[in-house]
Amino acid sequence: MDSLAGAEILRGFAVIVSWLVIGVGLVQSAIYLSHLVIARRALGRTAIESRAETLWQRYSDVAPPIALLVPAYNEEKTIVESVHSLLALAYPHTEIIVVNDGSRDRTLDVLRKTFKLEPVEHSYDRIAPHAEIRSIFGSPKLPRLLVVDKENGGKADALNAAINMARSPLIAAIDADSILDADSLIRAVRPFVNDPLLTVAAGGTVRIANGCRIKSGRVVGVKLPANMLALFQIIEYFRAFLAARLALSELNSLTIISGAFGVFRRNVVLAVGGYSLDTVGEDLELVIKIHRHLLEQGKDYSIDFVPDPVCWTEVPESLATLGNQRSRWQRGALEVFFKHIRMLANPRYGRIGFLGFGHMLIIDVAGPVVEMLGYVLMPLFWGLGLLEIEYLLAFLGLTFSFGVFISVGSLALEEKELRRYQEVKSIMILCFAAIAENFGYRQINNFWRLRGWVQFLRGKKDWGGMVRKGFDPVA
Amino acid sequence: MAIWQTTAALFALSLCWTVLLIASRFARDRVERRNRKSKRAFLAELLPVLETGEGEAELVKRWRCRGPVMSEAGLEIASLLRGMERAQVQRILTQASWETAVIPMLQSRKVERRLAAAEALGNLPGAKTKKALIAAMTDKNRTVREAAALSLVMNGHPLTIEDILDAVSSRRATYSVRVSQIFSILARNSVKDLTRIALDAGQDTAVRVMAIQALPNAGDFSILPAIEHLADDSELDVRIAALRCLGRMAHPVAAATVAKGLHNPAWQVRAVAAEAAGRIGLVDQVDRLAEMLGDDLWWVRQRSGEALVALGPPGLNRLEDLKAGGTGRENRTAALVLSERGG
Repeated sequence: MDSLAGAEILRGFAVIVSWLVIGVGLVQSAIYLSHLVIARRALGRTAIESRAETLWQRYSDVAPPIALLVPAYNEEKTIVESVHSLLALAYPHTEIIVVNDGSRDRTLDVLRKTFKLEPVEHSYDRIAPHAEIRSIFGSPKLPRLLVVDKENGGKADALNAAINMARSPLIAAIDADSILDADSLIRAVRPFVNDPLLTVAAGGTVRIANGCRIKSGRVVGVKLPANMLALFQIIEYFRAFLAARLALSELNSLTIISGAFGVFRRNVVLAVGGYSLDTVGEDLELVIKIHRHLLEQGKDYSIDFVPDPVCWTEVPESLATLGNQRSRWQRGALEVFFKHIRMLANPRYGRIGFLGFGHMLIIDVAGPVVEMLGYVLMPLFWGLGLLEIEYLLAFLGLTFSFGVFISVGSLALEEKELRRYQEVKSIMILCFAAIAENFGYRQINNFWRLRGWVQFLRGKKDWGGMVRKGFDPVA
Repeated sequence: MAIWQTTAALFALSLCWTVLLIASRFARDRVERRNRKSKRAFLAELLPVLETGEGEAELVKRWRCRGPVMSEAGLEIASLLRGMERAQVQRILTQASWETAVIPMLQSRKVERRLAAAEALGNLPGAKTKKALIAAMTDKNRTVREAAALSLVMNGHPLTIEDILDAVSSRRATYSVRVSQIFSILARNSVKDLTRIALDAGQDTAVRVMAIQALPNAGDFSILPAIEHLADDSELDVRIAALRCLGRMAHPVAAATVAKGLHNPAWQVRAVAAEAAGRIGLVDQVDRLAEMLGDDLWWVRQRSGEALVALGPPGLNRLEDLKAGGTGRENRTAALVLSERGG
C-alpha cells in the first residue's frame, strides 16, 4: 500500500516537473517568436542606408562629438593597429582615450613609441571611481589621442577613468581587440541626431570576425570561419542582436548594450556613477542603472538598438574558453538581476520592471535551469516508467524544431535587410549551422550557463582567462 | 499527436524558409549584378561628357528609357561632386526628367528609399518636385517628413515654422538635429517668426530652444534685446540657449546680460555665460572669470579657463599669475588650462 502511495507521489511529482519544464519552455518559445515578429517589423521601419557616402552627407554636419574609450590590458600585439583603426574612422569629431590598465606587457611602451607620446597635463573631473592614475600621455601631432596609464583595476575601472577624462557629450566604449567598421559611428549616432533630447544610449551590432579577412585594422572581406563553434556563435549572435535586442529596443525595454560597442550620453553615465566595479556584467549593469536612475527621476528617455553599425570581435574557438566566457556571462546576468531585483514587476519601473526584468527572469535566470532540468529529468522519468516514450520524444522534437525555426528566422532577418555575407555559399552554410546548432551545441551551452549559476551561488567574482588567437591580417 | 504535428510543421516551415532564403539570394544577386553593370556603363559614358562638356543630349537620349538606373547612378555621382560639375550632372538628370524616376520612390515601402528620394529632390526645384515633397511631409516616417521639409526649404519653398512643426512632430518628439538645421536655414528669411516662437512661453521648450539656436544665422542684431530677455526666462534650457546665442552673436551690447549670467545659481548657465564672455571679449570680467576657476563644478572651471585664454593677454596674464600664486583650486585650474594650450 505504502509503495503504491509512494509511486503515486513520484508520478505526481514527475507530472508537475514535466509541466513546469513544458510551461517555461512554452513561455520562452513565445518570447523568442515575439522577438522575431517585432524585430522584423522594426527592421522594416528602419532606414538602413547601404552607402557610407550618403550617411556622411546626411549626418556629418550634425553629428555630435564622440569620445572612444579603449581599455587595454596586455594588448601590446594589437593595440597599435586598434588605435590606427580608430583614428581612421569616418566620423567628424572623435577623441580617443586609451587606458593602459596596469598592463604587465609593453602596451604602454609600444603606444608611446609608435605615437610619439609625451607626458601631458589634462584637466578632468574625478566623478566615476577608478584606481590611481600614474600619468597621462598625449602628442601635439595627434591631439585627438590621449593615453592614460593607471594602476590595474579591471575593465570597468579603466572605462571609468576614460569617462572622467572625456570631454565629448557622447562616449563609446570599445574593446581594444575589436574592430569597428569605418562607418559604424556615423550609423550608431543616428538616434542621437533624430531624438537628441530623449536618446541616452544606443547599442550597435557585434559580429564575429573569425574567418574574415582583416587588413590594417579593417575587415575587408566578410567570410565564415572554418571552426564549427565559431559558426554556431554567428547564428547565436544573429538571435541575440538582430532578433532579441532589436525587439526589446522596439518595446523600449532594452536592458543591455554590448560592452564591445555602445554609445552613451556621458552626463547620464556620470549621473549613475559610471560602471560598477563589483560585477562581471558591468555592461548590463550600466544600462540597468541608467534605466533605474531615469525612471526614479520620472524622466522621459530612450535607449535604442541600432542594427546596422557593426563591431567585429573574435570569439572563442575552443570549448574550454567558450565555456568560461558563457559561464561568466551567466554569472554577470545573475549578479545584476539579483542586485536590482526590486525592479522586477515593480510598477515604479514600468516596462523595464515588467518586460525587461521579466525577460531576464525567464530567459537568463530560469532558462538554463529549466531546460537542463528537462534534458535530465524527462529521460529519467521515462526510465522510471513515470513518463511515456511518446511524450518524451514529442517534447524533444518540439524543443529542437522550435530552436531550428527561431535560428532560421534570425538568419532571415539578417538576409532581409543587412546581408553582410556576400556569397551564396555562406548563406547555405549558415542555414546548415542554424539547424545543426540545436543538436549538441545548444545543450552544452546550457550546461555552461548552469555552471555560471553554480559559480554565482558560490560567490565567484573573477573574470577567468580568455585566450584569443588574434586576427589573421592580410598582407 | 498535436505536439508531433506542430513539430513537423515547424521543421517544414524552417526548411521552406532556408530554401527561400537561398533562392532569393540567388535572384537578388543576379538583379544587383545587372544593375551594377548598367550603372558602370552609364558612368563610363557620363564621365567623358563631364570632362568635355559635350554630348549631353546624346547621353540623355540613350539613357532616358532606363530612368531608375540612371537616376541612382547620377545621384550617387552628384553627391560626390561639388560646384559646376555637380550642376552639370543635375542638368543632365533634369533633361532626362529624372524626377519622374525619383518621385515614385517616395511611395516605396522601404523607408530608406523614401528618405533617399526626399533628400535627392532637394537638389531640384520645380513644380512636380514641390508637389511630391509637400505630399511627403505627411509620410508615416518622421525622418522622411523632416527630409522632405528640409528639401522644400533648400529649394526655396516658403514653409512656415508651423508647417514644419506640424510635419515633424511625432508621438515621441518635436526636436531633432535635422529640424534645427531647417530652422537655421529659415532664420535668414523668418527671423520674426523664430523670435516669436522663442518668446512664446506657451510653446514647447524644445521648440523654443531650436528657434533660439537658429537665430544667430539671421545675422540680425535687432533681435538682441529679445535674446537678452530670454536669458532671464524661467526655463533653464531657454536661459542656456539664450546665453549661447549671445555668445555666438558676439555683440558687446549683451555684456551686462552675460556678466549677470556669470553669477547665475545654475552651473550650466554659469558655464555657458563664461563661454560667451570669452567669445564677446569681456575683459572687464577677468576678475569674475578668475574667481570661477575655483567653482565647485568642473565644467564651470574649465569654461572659465578657456574664456580667460580667449580674452588674450589680460586673461592669460591672470592665468599665469594664478598658476604661480598658490596651490588652491583656482591655481590648479589655471595651471591645467595653460598646460593644455602648451603654456
